[in-house]
Amino acid sequence: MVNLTIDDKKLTVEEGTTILNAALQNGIDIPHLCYHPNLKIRGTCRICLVEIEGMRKLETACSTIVKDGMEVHTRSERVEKARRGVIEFLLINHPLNCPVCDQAGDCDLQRYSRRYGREHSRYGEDKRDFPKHDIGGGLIRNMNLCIACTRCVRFARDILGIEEYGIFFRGNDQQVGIYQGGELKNAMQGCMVDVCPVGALTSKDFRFKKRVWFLDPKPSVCQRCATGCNTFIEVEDNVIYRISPRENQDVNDIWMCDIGRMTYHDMDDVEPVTFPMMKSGDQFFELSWERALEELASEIRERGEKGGFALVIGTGASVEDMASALLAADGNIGEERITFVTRVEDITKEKAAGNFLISEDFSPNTAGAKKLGISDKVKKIEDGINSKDITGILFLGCEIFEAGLPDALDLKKVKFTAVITDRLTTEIKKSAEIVIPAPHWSRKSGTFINSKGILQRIEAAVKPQMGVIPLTKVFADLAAAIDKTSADYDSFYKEVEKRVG
Amino acid sequence: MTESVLLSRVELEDSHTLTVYEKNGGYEALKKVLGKVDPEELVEEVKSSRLRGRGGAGFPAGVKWGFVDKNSPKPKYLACNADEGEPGTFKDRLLIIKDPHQLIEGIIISSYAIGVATAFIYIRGEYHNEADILEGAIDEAYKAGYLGKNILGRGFSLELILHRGAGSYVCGDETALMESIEGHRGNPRLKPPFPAAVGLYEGPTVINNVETLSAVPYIVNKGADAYTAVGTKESAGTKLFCVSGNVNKPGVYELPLGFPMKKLIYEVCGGISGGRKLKGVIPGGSSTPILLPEEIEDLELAYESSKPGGFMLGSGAVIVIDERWCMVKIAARLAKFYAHESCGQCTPCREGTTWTYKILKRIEEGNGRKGDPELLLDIQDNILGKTLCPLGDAAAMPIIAIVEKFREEFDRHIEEARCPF
Repeated sequence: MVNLTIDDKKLTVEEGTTILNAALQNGIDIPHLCYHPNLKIRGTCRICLVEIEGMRKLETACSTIVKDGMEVHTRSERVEKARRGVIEFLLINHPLNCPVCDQAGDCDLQRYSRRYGREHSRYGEDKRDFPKHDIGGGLIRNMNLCIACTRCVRFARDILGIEEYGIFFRGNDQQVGIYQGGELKNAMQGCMVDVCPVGALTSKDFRFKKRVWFLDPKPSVCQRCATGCNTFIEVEDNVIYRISPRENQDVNDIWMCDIGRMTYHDMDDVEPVTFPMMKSGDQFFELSWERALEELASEIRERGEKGGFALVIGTGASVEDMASALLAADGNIGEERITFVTRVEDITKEKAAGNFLISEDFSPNTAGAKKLGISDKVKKIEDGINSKDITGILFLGCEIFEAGLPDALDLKKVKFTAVITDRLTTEIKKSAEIVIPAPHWSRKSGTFINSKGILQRIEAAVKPQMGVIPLTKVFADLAAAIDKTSADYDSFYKEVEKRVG
Repeated sequence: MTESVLLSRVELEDSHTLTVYEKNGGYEALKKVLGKVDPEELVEEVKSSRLRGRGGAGFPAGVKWGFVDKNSPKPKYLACNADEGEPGTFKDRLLIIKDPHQLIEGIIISSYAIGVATAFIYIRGEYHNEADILEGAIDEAYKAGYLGKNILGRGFSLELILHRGAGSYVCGDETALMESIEGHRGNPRLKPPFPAAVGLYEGPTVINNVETLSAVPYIVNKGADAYTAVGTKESAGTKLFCVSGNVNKPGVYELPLGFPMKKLIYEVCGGISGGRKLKGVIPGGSSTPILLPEEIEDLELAYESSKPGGFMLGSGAVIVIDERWCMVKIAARLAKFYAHESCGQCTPCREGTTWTYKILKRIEEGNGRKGDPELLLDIQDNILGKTLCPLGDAAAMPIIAIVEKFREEFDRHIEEARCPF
């Protein structure tokens, strides 16, 4: 441990800590722009300059390691003048267009300008002017807002390890850009926007959609693959505007991939399911919840008696949903007729594009299914379908598949198919007899276990749609309908909780 | 005049060839020490010669070598800084063109002393002919067995690589130079760690100027005492001075350190051209603050005469300016250079140098405003000492000196709304 003084405050910090981190850990704010906790230190923005007793020059707090007995001043007139100088330099060529800039409210330069900026500019020359530029992929680059902190470059080069993006020209003319022209191709472009402390890089998907101060970031976990990146689902009035990463050193550090970020668009072009439906001829008709569950229950009862009913649990479902499905199936669907299905994809291309987070298991909860004792019996179910032993199947949690149903099974040979889902896909329209609504992943709470075995509990970020109820309740009702008793929610939940553990 | 340390062969015909070099005592120092003298002893010898870095900073070379961890698990490197970019400086160029083998011998001996197996010469991109000559000399040295495996059969091996720059002033900064050798953008690195600890390819690295390394064979041949016999107490030996501007005989002169500036200008260089009056002297390359005629009165050209903001020996590039010149124009020209050469990674230098240039250009064009000189000084204050590498200081120091010392010229430009010259 090292003892030092910052602004007359006596501190003890771990050896090897930088002055900046020592200060931040102890509630002393030192402005910083090019410093980013997850990127290599460059010490180039010069706004974190501090005065150290015994040193002639001001030193950068971000790069100077603490020494025993060090006396640091972060508020002296010399330091404040240097900061005002840096902010002035950063603003002379800046368009000062905060009111119409998408970054406003989320901008470090704006924040520091308020503290260190001048009321009137001393700059009486022409401003540097670069054209705004679509650099391909998901980003817009506006060099007039760039402060050359190189966070984006360091992310692309050091974290992704992809040599496609860097600095061109030098001095006052320098710009960030893509080597040999072309378009940005890496799979983590959203992180480049995240690390940009100003509005120089903005996301095409989000820019000018919503002022950030209106957004409510709800902690969540990405359900796109088995990695389970921690996220914020940023919401206003029950509408999701963007998904951003949330720090978790054990899972995703502070990064997330572009596929994960875009998951909230998954309902853009599909028909949502908000009420129970039953097919008659080629058409689906709305049913009451009671009717729908009774119909489903009688199919399970009749076909199940002869061992002809199967339960296919897609690993997009939460542990709670899976457990309640198992509980409803207890005694009605034989264990050899229950399987989980996962979606495994070739991720060579994604890896090559720098996506170091994505898992080849495109489902968030395979580990959760295994923990509940469910196993992969897809082969047996397939055999059962082919031998006509299985005549009915209930699907759940299969939104992970693009078709909304696993492509491994030939449902043409199955007489009765029921799907619990949030979306009506072509495949479901073709195959299903009964469709029961499920809440969208952003609208439900539950537990997921990622590929590393880390258990993560999430809360709904958005309120459920009218008429859609949690699946634990659906299965409690279904269990009662199969047994022809009235549902006892309390004991059903208790049993579910016991299984979840 | 004292015995020449560095330029003893420059007048000879074909002085750049191995034959001429060997005929005139070349590689004798190498033969004397390689495998025979303990490397540590050699480091001590250079330490006691009090040879100081000739690139501009004047750091004692032997002490620099001593910083290198002898037991480093990573390979050690030596880089010769031949990126002679400081405006007004053209001394290394002469040493490279006229006596490249002296430099190569210096590099081999230094590498042996430090324990280096791979050395680099980083030569500025604009030096095409110089690079060709050096390349030729390196080839000759390889063929003659002075470079490569088992040199002179004494068990020491050295690879010497000539690396050409791409036209960047800042690559003369040792950390930017290393970045450039490694194939990155020539942006200076944060210090610490210093190159002697973590340098090229993360190995301990010594970086010395061409002139510094070229003095090593002499020191080894004649001994440290012979070297310290000339010069002053704190500035031993001779130094090359490149005199340019309004003097009758501009050129490169080898003089003992401590030589009077006035004598250099008025005797060695034959005085101001056309018998005109002296207006100012930039004493050590364009980044050193300009001196007024009265400031050079008793000035000795030595490291100990240097003081921040005042005289700086720098690279030994003396630029003499006579009465005809507009100091605003000179300031604008200097500012343009530094704005152009700023690598742009750190804020005060990137923004401050260009802003400074724009203001100076405006004043020179007759569009100066009241308060511009104060603004210029405040901008320089916001650059000075605030940047990552010395380029910020190099850009700010000359402007501060010119604005302060020639303030009335700025005021006249602004009042008359034109250049009075």
